[in-house]
Amino acid sequence: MDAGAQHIIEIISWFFLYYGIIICTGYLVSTFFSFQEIRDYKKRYNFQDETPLLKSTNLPSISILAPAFNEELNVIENVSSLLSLDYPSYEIIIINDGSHDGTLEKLITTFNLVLDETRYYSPLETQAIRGIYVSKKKSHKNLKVIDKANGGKSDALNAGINICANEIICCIDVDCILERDSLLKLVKPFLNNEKKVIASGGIIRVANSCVIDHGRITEVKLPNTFIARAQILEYFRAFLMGRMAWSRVDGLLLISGAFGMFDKATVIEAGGYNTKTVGEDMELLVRMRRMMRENKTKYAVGFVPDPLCWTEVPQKWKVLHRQRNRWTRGTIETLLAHRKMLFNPKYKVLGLLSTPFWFFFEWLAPIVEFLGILFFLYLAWHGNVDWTVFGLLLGLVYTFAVMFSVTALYFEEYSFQQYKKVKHVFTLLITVLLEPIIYHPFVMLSAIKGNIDFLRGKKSWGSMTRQGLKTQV
Amino acid sequence: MTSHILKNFTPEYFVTLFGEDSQFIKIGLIICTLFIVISLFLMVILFYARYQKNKLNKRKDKLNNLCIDFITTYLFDDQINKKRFLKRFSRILKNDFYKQIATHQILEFSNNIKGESVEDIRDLFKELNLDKFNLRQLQSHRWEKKARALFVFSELSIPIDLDEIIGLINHKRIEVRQQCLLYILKDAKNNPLEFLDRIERPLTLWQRIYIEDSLKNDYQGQIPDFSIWLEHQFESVVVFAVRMIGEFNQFENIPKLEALLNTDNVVIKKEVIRCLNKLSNEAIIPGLIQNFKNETSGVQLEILNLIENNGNYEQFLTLLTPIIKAEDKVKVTYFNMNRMHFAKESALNGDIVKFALSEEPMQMSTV
Repeated sequence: MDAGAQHIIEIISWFFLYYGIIICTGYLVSTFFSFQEIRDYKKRYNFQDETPLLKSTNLPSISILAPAFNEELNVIENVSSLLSLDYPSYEIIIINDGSHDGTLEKLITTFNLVLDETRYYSPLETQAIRGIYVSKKKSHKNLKVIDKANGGKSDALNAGINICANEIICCIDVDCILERDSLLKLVKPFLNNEKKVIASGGIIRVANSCVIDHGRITEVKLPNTFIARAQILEYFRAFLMGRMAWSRVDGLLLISGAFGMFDKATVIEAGGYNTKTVGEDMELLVRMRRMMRENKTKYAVGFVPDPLCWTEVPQKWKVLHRQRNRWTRGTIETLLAHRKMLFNPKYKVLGLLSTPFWFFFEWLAPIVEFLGILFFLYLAWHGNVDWTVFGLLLGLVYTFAVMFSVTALYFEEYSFQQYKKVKHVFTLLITVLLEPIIYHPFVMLSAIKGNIDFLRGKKSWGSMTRQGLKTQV
Repeated sequence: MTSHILKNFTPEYFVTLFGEDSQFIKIGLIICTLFIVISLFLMVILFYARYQKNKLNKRKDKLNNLCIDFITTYLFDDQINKKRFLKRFSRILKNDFYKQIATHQILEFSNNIKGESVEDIRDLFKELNLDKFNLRQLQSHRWEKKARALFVFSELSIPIDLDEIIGLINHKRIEVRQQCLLYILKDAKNNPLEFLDRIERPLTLWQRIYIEDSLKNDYQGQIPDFSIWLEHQFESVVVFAVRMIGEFNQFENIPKLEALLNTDNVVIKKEVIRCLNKLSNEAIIPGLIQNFKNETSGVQLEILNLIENNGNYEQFLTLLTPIIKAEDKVKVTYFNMNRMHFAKESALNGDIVKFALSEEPMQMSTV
């Protein structure tokens, strides 16, 4: 190999090294901020009686919006569980997004629904509404069902926003399990802020293998499969370390589509959910924040670290691959749609920190990693690898990954300690050791495939087959 | 090739690595070792924290039970020698942790008992020197201790020197400010909302809810005239005062509310109309109808709501012309009111509204 080629190889090697150092530093900084935020949160709300809140007529009413597509099997249990939340005033709007199965019929029969003649102001364009149903039963008077032509999750949520009556909306996945006090906790940022709060998000937990009774988690258990356990660690890192830190510096760009609360007027002003992206949850928040900044309106985005919402994560590699592929495309679409914000000081933390982080470390990280592997294979093929350095770097990356995951586990222990049994902690520690070798490469490859699909113009969600969270007592 | 590489990784090889000249290798190995040590340390901490937490919970349970037994016996058993019994228990409260548990249990009891025993529980709180302990907490520089101490004093209605806490009304932490406001309110014999004249930050909705609850359920004195805060510098205080006028049926303040309708502040204006609606004031409707076309859509919706509850069909019909120029959401509300609330009158009048609005394009759900 000539000197020129050797020089280029050296430059590339140093690029990968610096990239790795910067990304690790970013994670360490986020650890510091998230710890502060969790500690602060624990001090904030741990003594005051919440009864006055539950009794108050002053508490803002909330509309829960839950799109349902072919949910015949679980929809009744899920809606029943939603009907028994602890909050003084809320309505539930189930949007049947053109299901092919008996979702609507089951809802009509079980909840005694009849067509509602009321007309609704509909500022957001959606697919045709076929009917709006309300319950004849007094006990279910806060339940509405919208039957509409299929248009996807964003379109269904937009239809719900049009029809709902209240100024605060809570968008959820219908198959999620909410804690009884989840609304009360998620609405707190809206109540206790001197600025206008436009959105509030919570932590999503993994419900696989948990004991569920009448739509409520009664015992938290660790999933039987490695893939689900690895996702538990991933959720710990993403929520307890990532989003908590972003919340601390007011740089949150994503509130999970599974459970998020929004100010309806701001959502409508921003134009509602974007039906042309598969990352509708992130795109909406970014657009809302961008709009507020451009309008020079003071605002806040809240984040609540309590475990309020439980969801089923993919248990099959194929399904996980589809999910990550979609998440990657959603991230790219959002970042490209709002590229104006990147490094733009006008958007403060969002422009100078959040969007660059998402661009370099969420979008580009899997690509850089993949290219790094290809580069290594090229060097190995040409016998140009210093195996000592290679072993050292591999060791560094692995030990950092383990250290970061163990920190996430510690944060969980420090904050909410959902996994009560010591054997659960042991199992999670074993997962920590295996995850960087087995799970991470798979997720990285799914993201690469997501990038390729994005370039090919793929827009579909891909089916998200779930095992179903059965009632087990 | 693999076996050739593996042959190199002997124990001697790793030992000699630290002796290598390359700074890169040295630093890398040190960092790697550091990561391993931190990981192991966190793992140990993880289990230790779990062990400590379990131990602490056990201690907590034990002490909670002890406190419950003690308080129950102290309050309801007349056979015991209270002084000696108290002295014995005081010895148990040897550190802050124990005192916190005892305070917590006393709060629990005070929430669940009524009558003379409430006074007894307050005496017990003092006898155990928990007032001094909480005063120390109040003087601490940590905001969470201050907030908690204020909460305890206010829940038990223990008098403390107001001069000591008056400065906390404008504390930088909202939690301290809130507990301070609630303490002052509960402690007040009259004029419970005097603090509103001293606050330097707006009230949050959360604070307003708790103040309202406290006024309704804890405060024993005379309810203040809320109209004195209708010109407060903070919008949130004015909105709160207007709302309270409605909640406490202060009909005598209606003229002042009517005067407030000339404000340019939409939030206040909406709250005033809502309040007049609650007070069933229909006299205000003609004036509001006259100015309807100049109002924002939010105010227009409140006016429609007022007419729905306190107005009549003629007044409703008068709005038909300005409604046609109004925003769609107002038109839709008007359309629904015609179909549902004024259905009978509308049918008798040939459904003029439906006819007029059917010509108008509207962003409306069509089924």
